[in-house]
Amino acid sequence: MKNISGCGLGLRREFFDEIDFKKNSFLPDWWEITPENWIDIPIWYQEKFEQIANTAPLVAHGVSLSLGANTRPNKQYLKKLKNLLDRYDIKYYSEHISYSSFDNLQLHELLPVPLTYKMIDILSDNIKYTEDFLGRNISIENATYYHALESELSESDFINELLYRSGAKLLLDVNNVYVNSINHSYNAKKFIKSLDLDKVSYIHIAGHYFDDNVQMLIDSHGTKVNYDTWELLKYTLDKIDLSPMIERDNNIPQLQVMEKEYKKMKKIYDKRTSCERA
Amino acid sequence: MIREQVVKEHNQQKDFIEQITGKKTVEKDSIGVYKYLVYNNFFDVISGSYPEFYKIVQAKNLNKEFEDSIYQFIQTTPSSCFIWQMPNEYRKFLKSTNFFKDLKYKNELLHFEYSELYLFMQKKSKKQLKNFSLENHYKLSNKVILQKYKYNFLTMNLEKKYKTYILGYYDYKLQEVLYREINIYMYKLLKSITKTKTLKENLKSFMKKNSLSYKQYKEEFVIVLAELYRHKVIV
Repeated sequence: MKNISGCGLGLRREFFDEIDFKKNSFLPDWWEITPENWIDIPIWYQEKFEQIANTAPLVAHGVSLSLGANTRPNKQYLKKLKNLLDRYDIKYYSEHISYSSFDNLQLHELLPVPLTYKMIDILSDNIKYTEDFLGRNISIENATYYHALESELSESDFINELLYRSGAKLLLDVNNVYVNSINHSYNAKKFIKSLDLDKVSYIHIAGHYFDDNVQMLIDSHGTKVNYDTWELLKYTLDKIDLSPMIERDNNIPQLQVMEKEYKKMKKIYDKRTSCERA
Repeated sequence: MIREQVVKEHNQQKDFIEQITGKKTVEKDSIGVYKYLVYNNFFDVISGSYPEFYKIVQAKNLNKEFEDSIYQFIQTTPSSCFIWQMPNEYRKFLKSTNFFKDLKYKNELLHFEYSELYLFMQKKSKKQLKNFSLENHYKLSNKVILQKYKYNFLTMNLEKKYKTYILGYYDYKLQEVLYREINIYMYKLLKSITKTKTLKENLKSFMKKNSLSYKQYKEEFVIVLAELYRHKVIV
C-alpha cells in the first residue's frame, strides 16, 4: 500500500460552505471520508464533493462493514463501496475490529468482539473476503470497548495475531488506546509499544469525554482532542513515521476551529519528521 | 467452515446484542453503556428525521410509546448499512405495528416527512433544459413525490381530515425541497403523462377522459406544465 503523506482531517458536510477554492481557503493534506456518508450524497453536496475529491487525496474509513459479524459483509454494500473507491481513486480503505450487525440486524454502533482465536479466524476470513471484493489491501482499526467479552488473548496479542493472519494493516487509533487504557486500567504507552508497529498504515486521533453516569471515558469524536491524547500522539510519532489525522463526527464545529486543531497536529508531525531528518 | 465452529463466540455476541437492544435485562453497567449508545443513535436519527411527528409525540405525552417503538424496531428490523435509510425502515416498521394507533394520520405523516429526505438524497438531474413545447415527449421525473393525502401536512392542521394532492420536488435554484398543493386535475394529469405520446396528445386524452374542454383549459395547464418542466418535475 502506497503511503500517504502529511496530515489528514475528517471531511464533514458542515465544512462545505467554508471550503472556497477561489479564496484559497484552508485544505488539509488529505481528507478522510466515511464512505457510508458519501455513497449516496444529498443533492446539494454533490458538486462540491466532486470539487473536493479533485483537489486533495481521499482515504476512506468505514463504520458498518461489521467484520466481526456472524454473516459475510453485505455484498450490495461492498459493490457500492468499490464503486466509490474506484471512482475517486481511493487507495486506503479501513474498517474496525468490531461488528455492528448480527443476524443481519444493523445496530450502527461498533461492538466489542470476543478476543479469541476463533474470532481471529472469522475476522481474517471477512477481511480477506473484503479485500478480494475491493481489490485492495485494507487496514483495520483498534476500536474502543466499554465491555470486554471473553478473552483468550490480551488485546494487543489479539491485534497482532489478527494482523499476522489476515495480512491487513493497522489503523492505529491513538485516542482509542488512551480511552481503553483509562477504562480498563492499563498503560497506554506500553500497549502501543507491544503492537506490531511495522504494520501501521496511519494514525487516528479524536476527542473523548468522561461520562459521569457510566463513570467511563466515552470515545465521542465530539470534543476537541484531549491533552493526554496529544501526548500519546507525540509518543507514537516518535516510534513510527506515519501520517496522523483528526476525526470529528459529533458537535461539528466550523472548519476554522478544526483548522486550529489540524495545525497543532501538523506542528507535532513536522517537528517529529524534522528531528528525524536532522 | 469457520463460521460453524464459532458457536461459543456467536452465542456470546447474540447474548450481548439481546441485552443492548432491550430484549434481555442488562447484566452489567458496562453492557448498559452500549444499550445507551445504541438507543441514542436511533432516537437521534428517527426524531430528527420526523420532527413534526416527534413534536406530536411530545405534545401528546407519548414519549414512552415512542421509546418502546424504537426498542422494538431495534430488536427486529434495521438492516441497512446506511444511516440515512434508517428513518424509512422505521416508517415501514411502524406501519406494520399497533404503535400510535390513535394517531390516524401516523402513516401518512411519516410518509410526508420521509419524502423530504428521499428528495434530498436523489442524484442531481444533469438533463439540460430545452425549449418547452407541447409537441415534445415528457414523463413525470422519478425524482419527485406526487402523493394524495387525507390530511393537510402543509398547514399541519391534523384535527380534521382534509384531502390534499401534493407535489414535492427539489428546487435547484433555491436548493431546497419544495411542496405544492395541486388540484386533483393536475395530480391526475401528472400521474397519467407518458413519454409514448406528445404532451399535447397526453393533454388531449386526459381532458377528454375528464370531460374538460381542451380549448377552454389548455392554456392554464400549459402555463403550469411549462413551469414544472423548468423545475425538472416533468422531464
